[in-house]
Amino acid sequence: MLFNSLNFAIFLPIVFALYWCAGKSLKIQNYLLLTSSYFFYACWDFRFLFLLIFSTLLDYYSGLKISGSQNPQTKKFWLWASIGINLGFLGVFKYYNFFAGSFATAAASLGFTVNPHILNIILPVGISFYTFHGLSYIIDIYKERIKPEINFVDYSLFVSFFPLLVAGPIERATHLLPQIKRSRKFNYLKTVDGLRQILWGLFKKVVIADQCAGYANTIFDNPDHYHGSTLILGALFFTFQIYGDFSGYSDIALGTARLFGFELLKNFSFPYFSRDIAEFWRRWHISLSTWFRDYLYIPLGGSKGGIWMKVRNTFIIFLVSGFWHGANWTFIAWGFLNALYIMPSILFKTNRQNLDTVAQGKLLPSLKEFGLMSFTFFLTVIAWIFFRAESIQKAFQYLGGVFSGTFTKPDIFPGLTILLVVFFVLIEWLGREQDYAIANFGFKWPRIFRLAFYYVLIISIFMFMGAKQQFIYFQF
Amino acid sequence: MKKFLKSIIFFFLPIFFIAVVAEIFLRKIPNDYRIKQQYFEWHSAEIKVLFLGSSHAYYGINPIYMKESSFNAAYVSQSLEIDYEILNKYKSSLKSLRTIILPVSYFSLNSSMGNNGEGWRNKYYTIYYHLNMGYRPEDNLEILNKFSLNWYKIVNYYFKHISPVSSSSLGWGTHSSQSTKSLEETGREASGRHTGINPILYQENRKILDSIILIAQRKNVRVLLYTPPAYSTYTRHLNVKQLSELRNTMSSLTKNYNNTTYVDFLLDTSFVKADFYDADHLNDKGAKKLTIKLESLIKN
Repeated sequence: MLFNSLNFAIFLPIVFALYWCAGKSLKIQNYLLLTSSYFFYACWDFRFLFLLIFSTLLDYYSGLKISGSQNPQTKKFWLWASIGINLGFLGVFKYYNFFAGSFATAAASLGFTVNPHILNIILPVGISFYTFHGLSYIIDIYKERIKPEINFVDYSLFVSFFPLLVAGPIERATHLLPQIKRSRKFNYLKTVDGLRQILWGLFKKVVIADQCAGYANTIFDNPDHYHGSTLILGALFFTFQIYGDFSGYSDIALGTARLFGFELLKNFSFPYFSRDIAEFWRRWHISLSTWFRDYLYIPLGGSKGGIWMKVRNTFIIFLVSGFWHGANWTFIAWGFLNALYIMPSILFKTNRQNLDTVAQGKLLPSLKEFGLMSFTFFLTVIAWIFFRAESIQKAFQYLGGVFSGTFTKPDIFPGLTILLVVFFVLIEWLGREQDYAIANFGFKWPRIFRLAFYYVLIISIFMFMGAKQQFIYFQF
Repeated sequence: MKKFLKSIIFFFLPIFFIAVVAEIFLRKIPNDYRIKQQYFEWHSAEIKVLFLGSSHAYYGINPIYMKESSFNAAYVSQSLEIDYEILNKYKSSLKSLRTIILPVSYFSLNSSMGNNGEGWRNKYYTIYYHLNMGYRPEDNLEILNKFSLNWYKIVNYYFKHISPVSSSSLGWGTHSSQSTKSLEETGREASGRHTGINPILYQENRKILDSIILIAQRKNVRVLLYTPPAYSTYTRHLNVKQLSELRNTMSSLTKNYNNTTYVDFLLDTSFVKADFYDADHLNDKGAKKLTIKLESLIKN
């Protein structure tokens, strides 16, 4: 069930009405949310619901065993059993074919012929996300940061809560479990705010991402057909597609959760207005970046062991982060490129110099800020070419085309889509100090104008609703 | 909660009202899908030659030049799975059917309507053809797909009195503009759009072709598969692997089924610049030429 489908538009109000009709009974509310979440997941493919339930059971039981044992060996056993099985599933479903294919290619380059067995399986949607939920829970119990959850329904809801089930944000037990256990009351302002965030998320997805996707796909599918100027346009379209798609999804997830009285972790904070790559990574897919920071970078020694350890650990987390996105060398190259980008700020210890919002309290950035933002954006666009390309070779071919010097009039120039992107960037810029762009947008206007603005967004969503591109992060 | 319900009703009521009115008005506008469906309802027993396929057949085949009773059921972006659904739905009422003529273009085996950005057209096959296109609630409503096009249709039909119908009574499609498009530009653009090998879709389309041929075989009907002509500005950009996949598949189908023949017009030099509307679509003149060629083929 996609967030931008009529199915979801029917599902959500029904669950919402039943949920608040359940009144003050927290138990009924949690049961209802869990049932709805499993229904939501089963609508995609009910067979993989069993995998989700198994993973939930495994982490629930391992958590109890780790906490209940005094023996360090037993604790370690259950920790590694849970990590091993969870990553094992991820490995089989997501990475097996990649490793088998890469092994065959490597063997062929040495003169051996290997015909690996290729699995004909589909990737269970959300597996990378709920696996990471479970892993953080188990590691936190092992490190004695949290106590295990005794109530199985509450724990299952933490793993499977439908707004975040298929594409995050990657939640932490310390953040979400207390909300699951706390009594929740209907709050008018929060509910309206949730709807507003859903509206903005839908606009980003349907109007921006899906429109850009059509052109990005056409250009990326056959880059040799187009001049350099068109290829630049294609890369820009993909840059806005992936942002609109994933941050739009996150906005819908956060808004939906708010309708039920939950606050999820923020996942995006206007990343394209970053002044350096370190700032970009503090603003892009925040829940994943902080996950890798807390469960990989810091356990590896973080930045404590001198500059070389810092460099090594930075490369490790970026390469793993790239690989997390998909079983393709292009994602690893994307991670590697980002690690290279961030290196100067690591080496010169400038990675924490842009912690505030750009041009805070001002309408326009300074010339220096604008230059820094443009350069960071340029680097990001180059990296997205690797992310989007089907192979490393095709990414270089695309880049070769971009820098071929054939800057004639673009072969494709969709004026309306470009205008929509400009409008979108403008609204994002004006709202960059808020939680999401339209959180307080138009609050000083007469109510009728604000309502008119919302109607314009709704109409534009209806206008562009046909394209229906899959959410990119569903495949991760 | 009461305040919330009041606000939400107040907010969504105008949208709901406009949506209902727009849906009613949209369904009253005549369209090619309804016309084709009605032709099947009223005349399917008379059809001897049935043309299916995408825009290449819709614009490229004019049944008026056929000697036997013929109908062009092709349409823009109509992919093989829809051709199959149409045939499957009307197979029992097509009592006089002798030949099915189906284009298998350069892109046909590696695409489907849902995957090439044209999935919004599903609604027409659901609402007007009553085909089973898989359950998507939005396919049952006009307003929930391509709102911009819907708005354009409402304005054109009710305010400017322009009908969106482009097909003739026998289903042939007339281009909205008579002026030829740039063959160079459309050749590069269309070949780019049509290039792409998708093994999953290939397997599905291959099965669909088998199913179409099997339906025909059971009815003792001949199947003529053809690759439509295209101008050199299109053909010179084509991917050799994709093209040979198409030809190998056609050769295997004709070997496997004795009711099936295949003709490749892709590089047919008898189609000249003056026959094309754009690099991969024929104009009126080209359509006449192709239809006559097909007519002579089925006669033999």
